[in-house]
Amino acid sequence: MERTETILVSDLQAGDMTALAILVDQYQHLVYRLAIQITKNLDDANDVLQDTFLKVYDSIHSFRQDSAFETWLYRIVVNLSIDAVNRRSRRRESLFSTVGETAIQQEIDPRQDPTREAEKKELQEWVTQAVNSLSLNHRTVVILHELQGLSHPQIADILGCSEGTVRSRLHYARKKLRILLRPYTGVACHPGTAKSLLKGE
Amino acid sequence: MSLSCKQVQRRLSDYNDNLLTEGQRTMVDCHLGGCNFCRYALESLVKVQDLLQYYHSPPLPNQDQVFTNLQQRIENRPADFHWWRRLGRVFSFEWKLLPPLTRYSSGLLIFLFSMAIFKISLTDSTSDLTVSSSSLNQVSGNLALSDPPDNSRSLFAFDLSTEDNQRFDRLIFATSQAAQQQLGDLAVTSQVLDSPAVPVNQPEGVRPLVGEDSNEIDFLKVGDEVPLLDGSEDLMVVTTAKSTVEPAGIGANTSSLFAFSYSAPPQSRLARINRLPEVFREMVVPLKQDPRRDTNLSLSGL
Repeated sequence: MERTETILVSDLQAGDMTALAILVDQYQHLVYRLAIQITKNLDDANDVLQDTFLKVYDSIHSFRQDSAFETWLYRIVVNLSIDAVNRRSRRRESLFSTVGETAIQQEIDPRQDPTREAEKKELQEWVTQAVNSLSLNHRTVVILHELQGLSHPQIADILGCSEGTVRSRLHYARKKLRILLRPYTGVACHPGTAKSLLKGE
Repeated sequence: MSLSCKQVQRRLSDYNDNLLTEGQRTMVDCHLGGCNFCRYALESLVKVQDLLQYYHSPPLPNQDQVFTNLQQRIENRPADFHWWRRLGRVFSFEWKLLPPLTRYSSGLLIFLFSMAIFKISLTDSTSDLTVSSSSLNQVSGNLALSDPPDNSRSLFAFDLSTEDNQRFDRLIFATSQAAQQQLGDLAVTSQVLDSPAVPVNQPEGVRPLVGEDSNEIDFLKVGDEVPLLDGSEDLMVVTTAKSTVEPAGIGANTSSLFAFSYSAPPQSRLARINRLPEVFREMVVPLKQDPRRDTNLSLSGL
């Protein structure tokens, strides 16, 4: 019989390691994807992946199930990822690891139309670089809203800030993305907006 | 009221997410109907959202290893980890769940407690020490430590004619050696004058010091250097000029306890003081406290 998330959490609170195994299997892709999107670094993402489930195991007793497990998990991943980015920036190490280009190159399927694949790869690179060039706060909000599909209240809950802050960050992040992705959007930008945004860059 | 392009651009993100009120939405719609630039801006916003699906993140490598590695990490943790975990839970207590008044009161209490600890540590680390005087049958009648200078010790003298004072004297002798060892920068000398009373004219600003020949009494002046009893080359410097023993009181059955200042910095002095026997510790109080309080220190523990 398939165990629901609530039962899995209760079982893990009772010390059942198979429940942890199932939760890891269910959420490892989500955690890794989110970690790599925020940290932009493969090593950090692997560390965050392990640390997240370790924290889940250690803190599951304090989880009262009055919110969704997924939201709680998101909060852990986002906080650990932000910590990893801050740690790395304190050490003044490069944030731009091999996440973008090399990883994309490995994924080109030779059976597909080479021109189309090359265009797709170029677009992926462009979009990835555009999102990665956003500040940590803006990038996190864009990732959670646009890529993970979370609502504003959920993001506010995860980040521990107000909904207004989330909306504001999203507004500025989108504004910058509109400029950065202009070659692909194919539409003009308001001259005043473009001027002020480019000045900001 | 119509909106300007700037106002509309500021609301486009919320417009796209359906977060505007009905009235605001109508006003933006009205503006978009007549402004190509803002309409293009909205289109580009929608297009950006479509393009974000191309955001690439590499897939998870070795997905079968994640749980195995996690299990290994859990098993390889030190045996006392769970104790730390329980302690950690206390600190990870969700303060947000408390009512605001309780939360703020707790915060205030923690702050005040921290400040008290900080103040105590500050006092300990910077204050010097002095030896207070006893009020037990004093020879001089007045051993007040008026304005004791920094880094100084007071003279200590009392009559040995009473049993209590003799007991105190024995205790001081017994503890002075231990004090000497533990408190290297506080030298203590004690001497019973059993010779007949020597008439002395004690000049202002000097102190009596018993020489090796107990029939003679020397005076220690301010600025004199006295070698430490521990045999080291360091010297104590006399910094206190005020006399606390009346010349007439010096003589038979008078015990004097001398303590002089030492020119070394008071590093961890308090820690060493705390290791002293209790009888001595009671006499050692921080400087810069009220001198009157110092003189009234009770030696009832003797």
